Amino acid sequence: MDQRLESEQDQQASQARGRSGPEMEPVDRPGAILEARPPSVTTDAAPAGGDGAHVGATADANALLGAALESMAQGILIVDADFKISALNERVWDFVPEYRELYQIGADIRDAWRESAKAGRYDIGSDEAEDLVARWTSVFLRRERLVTERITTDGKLIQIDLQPAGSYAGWVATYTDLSERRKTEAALVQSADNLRTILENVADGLFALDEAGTVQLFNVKAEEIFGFSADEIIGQSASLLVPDAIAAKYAATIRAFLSTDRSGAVDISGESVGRRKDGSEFPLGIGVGYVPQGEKHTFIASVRDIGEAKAAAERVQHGKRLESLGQLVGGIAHEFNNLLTSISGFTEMALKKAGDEKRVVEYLTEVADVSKRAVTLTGQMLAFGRKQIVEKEVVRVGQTLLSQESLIRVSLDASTELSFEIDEDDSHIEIDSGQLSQCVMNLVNNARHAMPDGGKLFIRYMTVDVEADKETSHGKTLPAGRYALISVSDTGTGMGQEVLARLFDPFYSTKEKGKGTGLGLSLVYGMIANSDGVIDVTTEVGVGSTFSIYLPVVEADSAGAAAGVLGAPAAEAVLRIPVLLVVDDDAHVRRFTQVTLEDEGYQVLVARDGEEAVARHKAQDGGIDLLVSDVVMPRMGGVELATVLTDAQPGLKVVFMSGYTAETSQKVNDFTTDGNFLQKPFQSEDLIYLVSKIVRPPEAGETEPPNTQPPETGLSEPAP
Amino acid sequence: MSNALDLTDMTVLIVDDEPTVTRLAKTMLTDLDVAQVFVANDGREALDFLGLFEDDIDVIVCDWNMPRMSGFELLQQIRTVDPSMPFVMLTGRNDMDSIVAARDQKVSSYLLKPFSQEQLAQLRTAAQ
Repeated sequence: MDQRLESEQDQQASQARGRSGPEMEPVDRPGAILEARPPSVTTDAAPAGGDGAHVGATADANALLGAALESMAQGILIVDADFKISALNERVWDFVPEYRELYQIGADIRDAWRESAKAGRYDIGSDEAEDLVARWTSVFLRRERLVTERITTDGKLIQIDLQPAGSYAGWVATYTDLSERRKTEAALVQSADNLRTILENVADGLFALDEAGTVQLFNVKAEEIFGFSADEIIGQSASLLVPDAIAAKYAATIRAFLSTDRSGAVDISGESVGRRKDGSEFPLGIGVGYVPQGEKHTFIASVRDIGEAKAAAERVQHGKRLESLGQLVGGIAHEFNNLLTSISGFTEMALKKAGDEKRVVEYLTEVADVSKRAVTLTGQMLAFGRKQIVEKEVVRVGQTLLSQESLIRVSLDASTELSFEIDEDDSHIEIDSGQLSQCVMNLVNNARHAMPDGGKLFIRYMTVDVEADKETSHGKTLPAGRYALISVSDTGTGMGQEVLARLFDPFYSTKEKGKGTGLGLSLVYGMIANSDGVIDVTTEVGVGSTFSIYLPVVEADSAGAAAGVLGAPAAEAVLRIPVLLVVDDDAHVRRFTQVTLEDEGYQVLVARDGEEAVARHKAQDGGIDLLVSDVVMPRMGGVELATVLTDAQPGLKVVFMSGYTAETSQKVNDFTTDGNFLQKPFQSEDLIYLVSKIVRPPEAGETEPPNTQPPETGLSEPAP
Repeated sequence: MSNALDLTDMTVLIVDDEPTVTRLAKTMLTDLDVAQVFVANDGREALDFLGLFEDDIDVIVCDWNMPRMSGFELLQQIRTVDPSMPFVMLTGRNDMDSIVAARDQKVSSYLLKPFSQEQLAQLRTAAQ
């Protein structure tokens, strides 16, 4: 090591560096003093020979270079053609603190290599040190570049870049501390990871596009929403994600935005329409933000599929519309009822006065009959408007349903299987028990209609605890609580969304014209609502439907609502559906009669002959209101039947139907002189007229069981 | 009913804002030979009338839904003065709430519209 370095140049140089102090002995401090063969720097006016190094003519080359080298963050070491260190800056020692003595002016660099290789600095065994030195030497001699990394003793990762120094017959080694860089890189990677995690997990879809509308970024949620994978859509135009018309509009909006000072908001937000990969469109909620990135313009879109939210809002709206419709209808019906009161009342009075004026009686009777029908209709409208007199009482659900079981079974035909599952754990609800029965019957009829070729009908009852507020099919929320859940399920045709939505609309019916007024289900809706219950419908086309009625459970001993009104005259004011028993061996007649009478709101049982009719009558708790029977039938004829039944139920009225023969009319006359006789063939009007004269049609406000295909009767016999 | 009033001894007050309904009721009752039928189309009118002739009235039949003063309000007013006046609520199949309210105010009975003459004849049971 050449220690002597005293020269004027040195002193000037060290002064130029601005360093001073006793410890900074110019003698053994390498500094950046160039020694031995000077590098490609001269003090001539000509540009320096070293490629890229330029020094002005009058400048002190050494001093300048010294200053430059010392100021660098990297360690710089210059080696001559003989592998001797000809110059280095102090920074180098920071990189090789343990080999400071080896890194001195005049030292052979290969010694330093050898030492550090042996010590394991280059991650090789010490026996391989010589090989390393040899390798590097040959690289050196071949005037090639060598870049290597090593760990310093204090754990820093450093990079050593050795390259030939232009025309200088030597080498420049650059030492760079990579640990800072690595830390920064690591931080960047971490930050990128964080960002990716955020993008993956955010609830909304996010995508970014440039000013040309090319998608730059597409998160996982966006993939789910649109159906495109990120790979498929990145690099493509974002116009693929919305319908064409909207894409054009947005493109114009973005262009317009870019032409402003871009300090405002991008005017793309709110409800829009999205387009999936398969071309289908859906309601899209969107918001777009602008991100300036230097010269580039980036737009970030936040999106969500609002289809479900919209549908839910629609259902609530629909529910509200139904309610206001109900109010409107109720209001009109109320007025109407007043007028009808007068019409029917005065007609009644007029009829009294008409006496023997046959024509007058005939015409007035027609008016009376029609007014009755008008009253029925008005009553149904009023019920829809939820204005109805009911006798709410605390009833046991299971018991009420069980008492209906036989009636339900009887109304189904042989091809329909009934499954009746009533939970033993009975609970109480507050409802008019007649209404409850009517609701269930209505739903059963509806289910029957959905299964014209038979199927399975499930009627289930159980008490449930609803944990949290539940959204239901028609816009109402079921509050959390304890409920009696009655469900009627069928394996029928199911309903499409459109039918489901309008299911409870009054007068909406999927049945043919003239059969059923379409008020059956709307009445169910009204009745359940009147008892603070909720009805929920689930359905699937081709699979079936389930109607679930939730009614709040009450304590058994609660006083409840009005248990009837004081002193109300029993029969007339209490609403009850009359039960008729129609008997005829002709299936067509049975069907026709049943349908006609059910349309009027009566409850109709059917039987094929006298014997069956007797059985039916027996099964009917509380008897029936009217027997409508053919005269000539196998096994037991009409008159015989009438005799049996009037014995069992004294006061029971009978209407006979028959083709006229002397014989039948004689038979009938023997039985009764009431003259309630229907000559076949008869019109529905005749039937209705006669029956309603004897048994009033259901009072307004009761349900009208929707007309359906009447089932074949027969408790246990196959249909004919 | 042993304590039912004989129709021919009965005096009835009918209150309904719909004139054709009051005319009907009067027609029907008169046809039944009811002794007297008075008519009011308004709660106020009914109160004024009762102020003068309360003792003569055997039973009041009153529509529940009237403008200005409802049947309920009229009943309340009457009950403050006469807790036992027979009061029949006349209603077009209305809502449960009315019925409950009526019962709380001790209405005697109710009558549904449209009513028949036969049903009006039952008034004698309500009137005592």
